[in-house]
Amino acid sequence: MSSATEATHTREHWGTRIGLILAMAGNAVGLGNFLRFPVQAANNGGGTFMIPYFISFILLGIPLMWMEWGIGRYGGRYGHGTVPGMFDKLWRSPIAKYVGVLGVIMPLIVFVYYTVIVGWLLGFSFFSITGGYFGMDADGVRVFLGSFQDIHDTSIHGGWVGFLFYGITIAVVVRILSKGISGGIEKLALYGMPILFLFAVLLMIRVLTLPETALGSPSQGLGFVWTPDWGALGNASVWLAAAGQVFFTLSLGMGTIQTYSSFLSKDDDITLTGLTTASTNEFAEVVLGGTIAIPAAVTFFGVAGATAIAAGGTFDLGIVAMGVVFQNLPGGQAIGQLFAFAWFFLLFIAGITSSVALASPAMAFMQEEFGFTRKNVALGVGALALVLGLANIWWLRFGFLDEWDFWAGTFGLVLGGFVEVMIIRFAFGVDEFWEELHLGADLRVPLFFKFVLKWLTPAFLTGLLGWWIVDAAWPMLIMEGVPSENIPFVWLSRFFMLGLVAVGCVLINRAWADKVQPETPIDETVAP
Amino acid sequence: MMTIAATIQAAEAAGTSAPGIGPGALAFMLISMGLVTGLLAWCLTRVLGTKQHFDPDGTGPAQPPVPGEAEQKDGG
Repeated sequence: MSSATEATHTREHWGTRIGLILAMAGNAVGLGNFLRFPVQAANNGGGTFMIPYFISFILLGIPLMWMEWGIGRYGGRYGHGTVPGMFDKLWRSPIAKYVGVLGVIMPLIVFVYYTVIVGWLLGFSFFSITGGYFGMDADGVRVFLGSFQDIHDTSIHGGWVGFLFYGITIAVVVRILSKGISGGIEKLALYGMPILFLFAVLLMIRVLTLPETALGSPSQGLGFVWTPDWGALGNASVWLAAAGQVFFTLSLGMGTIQTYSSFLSKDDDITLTGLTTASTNEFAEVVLGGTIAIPAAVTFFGVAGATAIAAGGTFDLGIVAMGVVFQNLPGGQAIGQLFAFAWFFLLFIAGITSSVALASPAMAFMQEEFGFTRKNVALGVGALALVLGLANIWWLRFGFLDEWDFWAGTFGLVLGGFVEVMIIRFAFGVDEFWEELHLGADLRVPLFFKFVLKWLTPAFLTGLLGWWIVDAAWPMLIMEGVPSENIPFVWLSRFFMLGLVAVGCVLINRAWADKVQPETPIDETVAP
Repeated sequence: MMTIAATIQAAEAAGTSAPGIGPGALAFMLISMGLVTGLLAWCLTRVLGTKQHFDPDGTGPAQPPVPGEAEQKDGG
């Protein structure tokens, strides 16, 4: 048996199609669905935000999603579960694999700080059950949260408390990763996603049936999110905000979709399965995300209060405001604690399924390119995350985590998406990709999307990237508005990221030097 | 740093109107939710209804095995 054929049999695979759909949906459904989307909609034209949102979904979200599924399955056929190997096969240029470093290091960086945040949600799930913050007003909950997040603030929690929940989160992720694709990630999705949707539906019903208070009502909350502002349609920033939201909610440009779909064979459908995944994410965002946090906050704080709290950031809305909302639910403290647990635990599940996906490219890279065992790589990724996560926790107050979030978790995604679109458009070819996309397809994609892939998606993404550079990346790069005491830590944060990218490039160089790359897909190799 | 309570008071003093959900908002909400729910339902129906078997590692047969004649008559 040739080594290439051996590789076919040693690669992991998904057990069931529904498991794959739920795992992919778990990758996409995250905090953004429940916290970012309603705030974006409310701030960008209300109901009319959905017009650019759906147009972006069709012209950018769906084509890019199919592109990533196709790239992943194509790379998997050559024994590559990560973007460096995939780009190498698509582009056939010596630099392609180094460009692909983005698809391994970016998700790893996001994984590190995202698990820190997931640890906060696990902590608040625990504090909800124990009633730790019950009896506090919004300012009290904010102080409670601040002391939990900041290891140096021991006014309420000891410094070790936040780190403990972070450690537990990392241990859970490592455990799941060490069980593999079918035995770990797929099982997590099969159990976790139904629980997430159940909790979300229960919370939606509870919020929408809340009685009116002196400050507001659920109906006013829905009105706040959905009331159309037709003037917003003429505002370019509203269109770009909608495109950005679609991009982030589908976890595009990250490298995780490619890794998950690399565990498919060429006879497996990706068109219908991919569309099902995207629509599951949209359901979680538009139906569930649009009806929980903002309507609940408006009911108890009024529109003015909810706006003021949301202006403080996503966590002021998702943790501080919701922490107060649950204390005031009819039925007493026990009911409030149960619903609070449901809220924070659903966010924890959304976070843990995404965390596992974020660690998967690094896992696949070290396993496939260097032959390390799954358990060893899982432990290694966990240990690295623990060390780097500690840096994020330790220097949180100096903007260390915010810097990672922007460059890897925001700008990096748009850049990653832009690069892969250009590779398909100008190196691999849209016609060839169209054929690849339809191998084993259960759904024939309308030809309209071929035109979209060829012309509209590259143009749309170029515009989005350009806008991000002017609007956000340049001010961030020159540290506009950064307090002087934070500047050394911002540089340190950037040094860490660049260091990881450099290590990634060295590893890619070593992997390609040590290994003969198959010239034909493994699944077309005939054993002697 | 301004407290949340003070921020809320200031925002209320500025006077933000708070209408309930109007017909336009309701229409946008229902159409948006209907579109994504409809798309999900359509996809799930097609996924669950498809006869193609799932063979992710590419090592299985090209088509799902057909039960033998006697097996079909016996009902398994």
